[in-house]
Amino acid sequence: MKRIIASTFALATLSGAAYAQNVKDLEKRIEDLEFSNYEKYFSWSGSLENRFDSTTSEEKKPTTTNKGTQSYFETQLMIDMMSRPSDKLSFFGRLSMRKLWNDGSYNAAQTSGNNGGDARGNDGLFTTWGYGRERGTAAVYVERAFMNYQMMPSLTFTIGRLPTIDGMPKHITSASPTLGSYPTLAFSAILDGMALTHGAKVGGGDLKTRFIYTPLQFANYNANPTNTSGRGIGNTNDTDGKKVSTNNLMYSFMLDYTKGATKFVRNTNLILQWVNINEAFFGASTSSTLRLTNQRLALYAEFAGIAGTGFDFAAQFAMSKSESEGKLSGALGVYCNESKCDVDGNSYVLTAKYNFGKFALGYEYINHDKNSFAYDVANRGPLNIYGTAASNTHHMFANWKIDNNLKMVFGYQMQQVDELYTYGLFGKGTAADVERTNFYTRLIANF
Amino acid sequence: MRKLTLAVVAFAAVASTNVLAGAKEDFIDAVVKQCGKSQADAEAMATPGRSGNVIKFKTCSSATVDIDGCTLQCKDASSSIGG
Repeated sequence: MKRIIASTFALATLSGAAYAQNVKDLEKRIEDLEFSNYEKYFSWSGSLENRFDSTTSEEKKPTTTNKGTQSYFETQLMIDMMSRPSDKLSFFGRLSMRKLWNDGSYNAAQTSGNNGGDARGNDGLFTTWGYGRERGTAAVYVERAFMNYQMMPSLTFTIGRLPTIDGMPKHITSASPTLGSYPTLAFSAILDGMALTHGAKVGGGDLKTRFIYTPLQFANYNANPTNTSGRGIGNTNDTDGKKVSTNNLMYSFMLDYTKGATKFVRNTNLILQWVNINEAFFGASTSSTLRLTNQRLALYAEFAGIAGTGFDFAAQFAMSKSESEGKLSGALGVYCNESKCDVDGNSYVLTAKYNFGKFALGYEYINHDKNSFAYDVANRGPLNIYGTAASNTHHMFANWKIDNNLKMVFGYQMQQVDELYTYGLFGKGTAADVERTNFYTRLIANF
Repeated sequence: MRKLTLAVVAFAAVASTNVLAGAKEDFIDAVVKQCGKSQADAEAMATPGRSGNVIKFKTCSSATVDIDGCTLQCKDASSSIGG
């Protein structure tokens, strides 16, 4: 920039014609540079996280014989894509990979095979060492793929595989910008669907009102032309003779308010979210009659830079109401063993952090009631602290920002589990006394 | 002198339509809203170049970025439904 200005002034000493030609050349070069920049509306970025976890578990109830420690290194890669081909349209995508280092894990629940590249089968090292180089299904995991289209200045339509996981307050422990749209206690799963977002200026801040539609779908992939029965075709009944649905309603309504600097705090984020899953059928049609309806209300409040200090605080509260009709495999309802179940359970997370320069220290307390439908498919650690019903966890953490692109997170978690359920959701629950601790180190590179 | 002035003005007019104008506007808007600076002060802070403040804010991967005593909240548009 300075070089160009200096050259421009130097031209004043040349003759008129030569001067005009040089200006014309400069304008041409600037125009070429602009057009080159205009074409570059697609960009890549990403993060590479390597972490170490050391977990100790001790079960005192229902049995007293289980105690052990396990330690693992793990890599998680996220490659992000962004494209803004116009003022109205933007696209965001993410390719993800996560695996234990040199994974020779054995899973007795899987019989054989490499599941298209997932290390969930009893593959052993000689198969997992070849992941990514074997002739497989050409599978690439797409964690995000959605577009935003600005229909009007204040109304945006979104469709695709949505950024619903890794939401608040996970960004606080990661020392990151907000990582996902749904507060973790609202519902933490990678959801596909569409949404309408309305933006408005309210009280000096920005209010986004969202309606998100994420239907649950149960397709029948049998392409045989004579296939006219089976779940997904719409004529399958459960063991009580009631038709099993091919699609179930799941939607969410959300108010998301952010405000910049006020007298007392540098940044405020308030979220109110309602999530509803309607009569989703679980299990095989030949052995189950179970349908689940779950309604959740989540409240989130975050205050960053309180009173001009480095103190951040966030609180999140979720109320869950689970209703089920029928039984899974003839025995289990949702959080009960009856044919009709109606149970409530609450969860909350309190997060506090103090930032000082390149470092930060924080503490988090997570509590899930029994029957709270705590669910976090995107949990990054072995204890699943945000997604284990009937548990409470103390979580201490520290951040170290090494430079603008490299940071570390250190943490220690202590979890107490008081009730065990089948798959975390089904059946009345068994009283338990399980204590787990986890020490972790995360090295995160952003590029 | 008049031709020189015209050349400089033409250059400035072309340069101002650079594709990074959006990033600069976002930066200025953030500084005004989050740090309470005036429009003029925020524009003065919007330094260009690969290591300038505009790019530092645009590519921020931390929760916040400190620029000349002003702490800005970083945002990741890819993590937000509706942008």
